[in-house]
Amino acid sequence: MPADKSDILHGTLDFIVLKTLHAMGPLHGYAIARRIEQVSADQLAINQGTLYPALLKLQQHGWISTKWGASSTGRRVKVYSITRRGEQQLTTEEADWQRAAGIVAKFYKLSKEPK
Amino acid sequence: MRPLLTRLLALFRRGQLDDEFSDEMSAHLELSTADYLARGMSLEDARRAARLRFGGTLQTAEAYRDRQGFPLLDSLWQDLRYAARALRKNPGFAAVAILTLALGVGATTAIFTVVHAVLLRPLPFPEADRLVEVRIVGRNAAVFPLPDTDFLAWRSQNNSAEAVAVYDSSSATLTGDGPPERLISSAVTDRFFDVLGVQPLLGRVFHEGDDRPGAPKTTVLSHGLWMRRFHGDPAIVGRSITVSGEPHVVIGVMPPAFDFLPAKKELWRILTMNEPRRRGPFYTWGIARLKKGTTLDTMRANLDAVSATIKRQYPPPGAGKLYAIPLQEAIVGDVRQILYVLLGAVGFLLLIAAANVANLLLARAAGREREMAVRGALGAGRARIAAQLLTESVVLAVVAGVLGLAVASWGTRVLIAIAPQGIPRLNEVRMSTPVFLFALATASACGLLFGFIPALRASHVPLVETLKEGGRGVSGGGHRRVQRLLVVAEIALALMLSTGAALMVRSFVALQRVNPGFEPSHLLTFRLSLPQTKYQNGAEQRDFYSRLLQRLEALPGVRSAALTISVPPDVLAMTDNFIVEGQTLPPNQSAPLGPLIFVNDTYFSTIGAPLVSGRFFSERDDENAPAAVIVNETLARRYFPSVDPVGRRLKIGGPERPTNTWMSVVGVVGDMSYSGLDAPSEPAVYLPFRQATSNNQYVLLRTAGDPQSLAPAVQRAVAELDKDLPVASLRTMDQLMGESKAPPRFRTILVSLFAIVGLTLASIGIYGVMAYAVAERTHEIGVRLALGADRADVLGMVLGEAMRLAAAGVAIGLAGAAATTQVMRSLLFGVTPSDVPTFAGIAALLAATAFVASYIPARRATRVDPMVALRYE
Repeated sequence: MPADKSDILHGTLDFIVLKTLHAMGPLHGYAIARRIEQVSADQLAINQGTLYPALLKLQQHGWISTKWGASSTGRRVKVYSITRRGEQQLTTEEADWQRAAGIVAKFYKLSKEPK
Repeated sequence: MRPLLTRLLALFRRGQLDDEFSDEMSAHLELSTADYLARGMSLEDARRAARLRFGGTLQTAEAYRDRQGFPLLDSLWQDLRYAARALRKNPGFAAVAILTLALGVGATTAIFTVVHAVLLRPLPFPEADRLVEVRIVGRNAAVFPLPDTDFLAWRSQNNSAEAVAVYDSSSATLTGDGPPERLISSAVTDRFFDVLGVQPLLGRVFHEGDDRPGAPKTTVLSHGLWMRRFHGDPAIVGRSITVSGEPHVVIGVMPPAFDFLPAKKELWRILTMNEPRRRGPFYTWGIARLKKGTTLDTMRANLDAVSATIKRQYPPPGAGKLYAIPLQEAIVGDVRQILYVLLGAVGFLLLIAAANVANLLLARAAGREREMAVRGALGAGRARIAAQLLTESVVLAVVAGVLGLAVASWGTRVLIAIAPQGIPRLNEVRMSTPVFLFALATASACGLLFGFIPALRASHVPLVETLKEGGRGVSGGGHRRVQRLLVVAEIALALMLSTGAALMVRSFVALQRVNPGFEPSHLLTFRLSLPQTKYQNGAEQRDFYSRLLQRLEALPGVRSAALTISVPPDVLAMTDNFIVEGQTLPPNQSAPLGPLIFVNDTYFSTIGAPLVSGRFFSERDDENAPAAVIVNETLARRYFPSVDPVGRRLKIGGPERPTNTWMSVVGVVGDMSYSGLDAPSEPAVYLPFRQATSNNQYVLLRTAGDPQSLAPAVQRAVAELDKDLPVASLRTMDQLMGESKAPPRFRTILVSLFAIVGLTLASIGIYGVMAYAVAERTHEIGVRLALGADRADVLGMVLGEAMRLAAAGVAIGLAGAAATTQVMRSLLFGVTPSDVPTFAGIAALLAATAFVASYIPARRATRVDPMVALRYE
């Protein structure tokens, strides 16, 4: 475990949430938070609370939908699932992300040119 | 787009959403706690861990809410509610501020409404910016109508306008189909309506060529005349009607909205020009529609070329050259300056009102420093506090703006009702979108402007000191400085406004004192126009008028009756050149110009003009007698210096008319003005009616009693001689004099009203600031008194401070007034824009006002009880 947990890269929380819902199917908020922590192997330091405004934003964009359901313990919870529009958005973001990552990777490969 | 929509919708079910979210949060915490419990933590530790993991619930809820709605909108709404509450809690302050501002905004908007309709809105014709007026401009920028020669040359050489036309403003008599009627009409050349780009409601307008000599006489009716006289009968088109004794075929009717200024016309006749023999008379005004893309300068160059050919054909000295100005400017004319002066004056009033409200707000803000400090201590940001104060002033301003619109709507109606005749387009005045925007913009600008200073100051309240000081203003010094500046500004503005008003009042008083040169009471005047078809020559016309005068003089109550073509104070029918025998004109200078008036032998005695030397006309000055002429004193003084003009000779017309006969001066009479009471006296030439006859005459009756009561008898007397002859412009001389003074009276009353209100507001401002200063210094004054200061000293101290402010305001105001009154130069009469007594008087008035306004608070200061003031600590 590195000394510092890194902050979530700016603007990537949307992507992470969408991808989680895409992979896992419908989840309630706590489950999403837990899942993100597990996948990042506890390297992402988020206050779980910050997840909720992000969920609200995705909802406002129509990328995820909610309904009330029950948790495994029977507690009434709000369950989030990804929508068709959300899947489309995810594809675009994945493509964008990969393009951006590709560009950055090219710069990494730059070696010092002989003079 | 979509997030915006959902967020908007969310505003309406905020409560439900909040509940849902807190439910979701507690679910999260419960699930998290359960997980920690499963790992073997105690319940308490598990709860704590879950909380830590979650982070601040309050912050999350806040972030969630922000994301849900519109945080700025939220705080704005909060500010608005708070502002409304604060204003309601202090109704006296709110009422004074709102009323003051509403008055300022309302008055300004009312004047703007008129300015907008009259000056700013385009004329009601398609592509009105391409319309120009063509007139003749002579020496000293004197403006004349066109003679036929100039129009015909212009029309044939025009290469800059799509269409050109001229019109006159002759009146017409309509006979047949009912009683004879005198109509305001206009004779126009063929393309008149094409220039304006208007279409008729019925039939057609004039076509090109309709004005050829020999073409049938045609006429177009106004909608009003058509409805009134012909009951809206569509069959009127094609019918022949008798206009001024000649049959005219009606070819069309104009729509109701069509109007061509300045006077509302009822009928348009085709104007036929025969080949002119000389350059004159000057009687028509040109209008033209510029070709697309052609500039006014191109047209002026075109007109210069036309003028050059005219000059070759009719060598100088002749009157001026053709010149084009935008039609809107021509129509609006002198009114432009008056309206802008009014707008300026009311603008000063608005500034004074705004300064007053700013002062009120400052005083209030000073009283609320503690509140602001508490808010600051509780974590409100400076921007937030400033925003809240600004919101308050904007709320104030908007309420005042709405109220101001009501004031403006009422004020505009009053303005129109009391406006003198002759302001063009006044019928087009209405509240319109630009007016609403103007009022709103003015109000909000005031709100922001005067809200800004207190807001800025309040956001810099030093927290600790203010709280420690128990709320007594630490930055009070700063407040006082700004307040004082505002009071100085108010005094300066009020002084400028009052000086303008005082100059106008003095002009008006001077106008009242003008000796018109005759005896105005007990005079009745009316106008007759004999149709030339029925009274074909001078002899027939003279015969008619002689018989009429006999009948009129026989009426009981009539002392004498007379004829003239021009009537004082401002009906001038004719102006012409004249040359005094022996006078040599410098090269390139035209002969002197003055009113030329045909009068009968009883005119001077009837109107009461004094004979200076020689004799009046008599019945013997007829067509067989040698040509006789009477001149006025101005002519005698200017052109016969140091000799008696009686027995000398002069003739009408310049050297270009050498065949005109020399006429002997038989008398000199006192000056009377025919171009307005405020016009400088002009050299006038009178010709005897029997030698110079016009079919158009004014009849003047000197009566024993009330002249108005003779009106029916006069109508009957005329009808007995000719039942088809309408009596027009039946007025008493008192009415004519009143109408002549109406425009200056109107602007004088308005500006004075603004000045009085401005002065009142300024004195309230001084009072307010001094009262505030005294209240703030109660403690200090108490200490002074306790230490043995005289009450007179205290009085002097407060008054001295007020008078220092007044002196600064007066000094600045005097300088400002000296600059601003220059723009009203042409509106003044008998007083210069920098009249020293006026300036001194107004300065004294302002100083006195400031003294009185600060005396009450100063007296209050002397009554401070040292014990009470000290115990207050």
